[in-house]
Amino acid sequence: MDVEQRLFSDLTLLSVERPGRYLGREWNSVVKPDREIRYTVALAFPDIYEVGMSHLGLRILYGLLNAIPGVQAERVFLPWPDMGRKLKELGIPLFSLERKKPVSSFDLLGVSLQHELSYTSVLYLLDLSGIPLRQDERDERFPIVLGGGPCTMNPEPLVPFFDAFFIGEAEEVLGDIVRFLMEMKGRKRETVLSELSRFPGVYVPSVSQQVPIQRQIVWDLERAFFPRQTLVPYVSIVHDRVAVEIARGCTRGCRFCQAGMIYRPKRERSPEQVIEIALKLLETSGYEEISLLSLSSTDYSCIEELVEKLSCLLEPYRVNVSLPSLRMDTFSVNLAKSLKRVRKSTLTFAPEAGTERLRNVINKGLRDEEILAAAESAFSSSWQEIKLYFMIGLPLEREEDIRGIALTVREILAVGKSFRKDAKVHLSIAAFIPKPHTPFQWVPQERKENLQAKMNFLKDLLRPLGSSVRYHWSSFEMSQIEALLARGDRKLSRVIERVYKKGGILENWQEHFAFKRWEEALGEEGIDFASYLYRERSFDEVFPWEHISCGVSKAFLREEYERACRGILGPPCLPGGRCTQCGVCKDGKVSIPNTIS
Amino acid sequence: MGKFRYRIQYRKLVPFHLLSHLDIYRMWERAFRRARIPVLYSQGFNPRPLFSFPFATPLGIESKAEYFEVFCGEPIPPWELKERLSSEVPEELGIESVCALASFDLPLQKVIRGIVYTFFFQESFPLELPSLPEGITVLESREEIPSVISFLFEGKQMLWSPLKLVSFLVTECCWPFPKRILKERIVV
Repeated sequence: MDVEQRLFSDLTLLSVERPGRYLGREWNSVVKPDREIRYTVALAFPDIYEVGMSHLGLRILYGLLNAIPGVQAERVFLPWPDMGRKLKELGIPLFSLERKKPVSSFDLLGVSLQHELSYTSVLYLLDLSGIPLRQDERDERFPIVLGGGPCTMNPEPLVPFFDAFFIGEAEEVLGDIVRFLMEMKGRKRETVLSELSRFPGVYVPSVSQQVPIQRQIVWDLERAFFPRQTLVPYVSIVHDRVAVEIARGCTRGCRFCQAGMIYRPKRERSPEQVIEIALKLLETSGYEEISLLSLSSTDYSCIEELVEKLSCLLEPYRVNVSLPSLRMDTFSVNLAKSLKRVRKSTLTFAPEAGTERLRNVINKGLRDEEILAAAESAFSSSWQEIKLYFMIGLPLEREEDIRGIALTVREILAVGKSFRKDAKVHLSIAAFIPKPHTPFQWVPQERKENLQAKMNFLKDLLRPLGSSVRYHWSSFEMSQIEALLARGDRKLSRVIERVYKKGGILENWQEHFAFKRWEEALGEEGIDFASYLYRERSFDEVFPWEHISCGVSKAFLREEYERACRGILGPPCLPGGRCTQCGVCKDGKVSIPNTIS
Repeated sequence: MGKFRYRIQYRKLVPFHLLSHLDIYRMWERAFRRARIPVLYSQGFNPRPLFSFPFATPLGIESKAEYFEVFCGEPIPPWELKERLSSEVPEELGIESVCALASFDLPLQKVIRGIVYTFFFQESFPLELPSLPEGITVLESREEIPSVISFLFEGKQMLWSPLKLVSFLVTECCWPFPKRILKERIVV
């Protein structure tokens, strides 16, 4: 009896939470007839459906691969533990959503590596699929396991579990890779991997290669593949809306931000194409909301005109436009007005640090009056609440910076209350985590006891503001492990495996995370946690991730770190104008359209 | 602007019985938008289409008799509405019928008298009929030793989830857990 019959035809799944997430069959999902399928790709996201389906990259790859004749790409997500137990109990291996085929039967298994705390979930994914965890234990019967996503900028802790990693942006190369693998189907694994290692941006640890492996960059976003139809889930997902990527990369160069370094240079999609894509996606999906994605939406050349034009076009259909987190120095009343035409979505700003001094250290460069002006634009345009992101544990942080967070919130609330009595602020506090390929890759991570003390101090400062401020903070134990793995080396793979065997799965969910498992596993492997986390690295240290290049030079990162120590801003990245010499744009091949017709 | 009212009957068959009421609501909202049917929206800060679902069929229950009413801004022949919507939803959630309502037609909640649910069991078992809660009667059992039994829910019991009857039968009368439950039809 097949999976469809065993699980989806009666009341069997009544005992698991939200069975709809295992169902598949969404509008615009792709199932080709068997006779047309020559090569199968499982696109796996090591988290549950609601999270994985919210990831735009997965939808792009799904469209890209299914557009290739002969290729069938299907999605795989992790089950919530109740369903995981059910599958084990019934002896059903993990299956894809589209055709409910066992993951182990696919030719290629692509795994999206978005977050360090998903590493044990990758092992859960392989284990539930009945695929041996270690690369050297797998033969031709099993799929080739290929990792991709931002965590591949330091793949070392995961190396023993993967056959290969794809570094960078996949739109231009992945199609060729899969077409090539389709031709190589049936050949010996070593042969395939050795041929695969000749593709640009592909790191195959078992083959000796010329290093560093260069991150692949799509120079012209306008001509890059972007799907014109999108999956429409039945169960509600985390980001339940159409997403259009309006720009990639960010010119700001915040020194803590890995995305700001590893997605350089900034490239824009023309407003005409954004509108064309938006309308097509909405027509084919029926969604009620569209989000214009980029690392810093308000830095898009003509964001106000674009949002206004799109909002006007969509207003008759009651479709609203939303933007992800915004910079406060470029947010305006005009933008607020366009965004609220149909329904108001959450407005999120990221000042990141509490004082101008510290914001200069991290190269955020935001002045106090700009913060208050943005708050005024939001509250005067009838928003009742705004959401703010701050970090604690930043390098060179002082007590005044923590006070600064509370002070900033107080001033924002004063602005808000001048427009409406019930003005509120929703505060989100995260611990700073030093990441590879950033100017802060040399600095120590703050100890969790200190983070907790800073958080307690901040809570005391926020108390007088009462119920006008809601706040939550990330788990500092989780951020320690994220920091450990982010700058980790190959030795940590054994720790990851031990933690998995101790029951560590879905660990980016606070309810499933246990610090104790990591402490035990590190102890058993005789690894000193502190040397990864609390050590100031010297400038001549060779990092475990130096065989991977994101294009930004180590010399530039060091200069930026030195500027941080002096509290001065770095020069902004302005393609075609003043250049920061970071090393990414070798010949300035970047398209930045900046008009709207 | 005119207000044109329609009643839509649709199915909710395997495997879509695993969706919740809210999932189905969202699906119809998006299907109407894809089909470009000018549905009317509520006023206020979060406009939603003017759909009214008389009952929320619980997750797990298959159905041949799901209903909702909708207001449109333009008159559309019922057959056309059926055709345009049918091509925007999976077969198993397809439309059974569409009828145009007059403003004086009572909503379904006011005219419905009962709901028939059919329980399918793994195997036949000697049927010992317990005394059922008031408002619920055994409608028919097609065999001497049945594996398929239909119940009629009337009056206040129409608001009962059939799963509540299941838990009554399992705990009070030692019946086995049914394999499937189908909402067969409504009685008006």
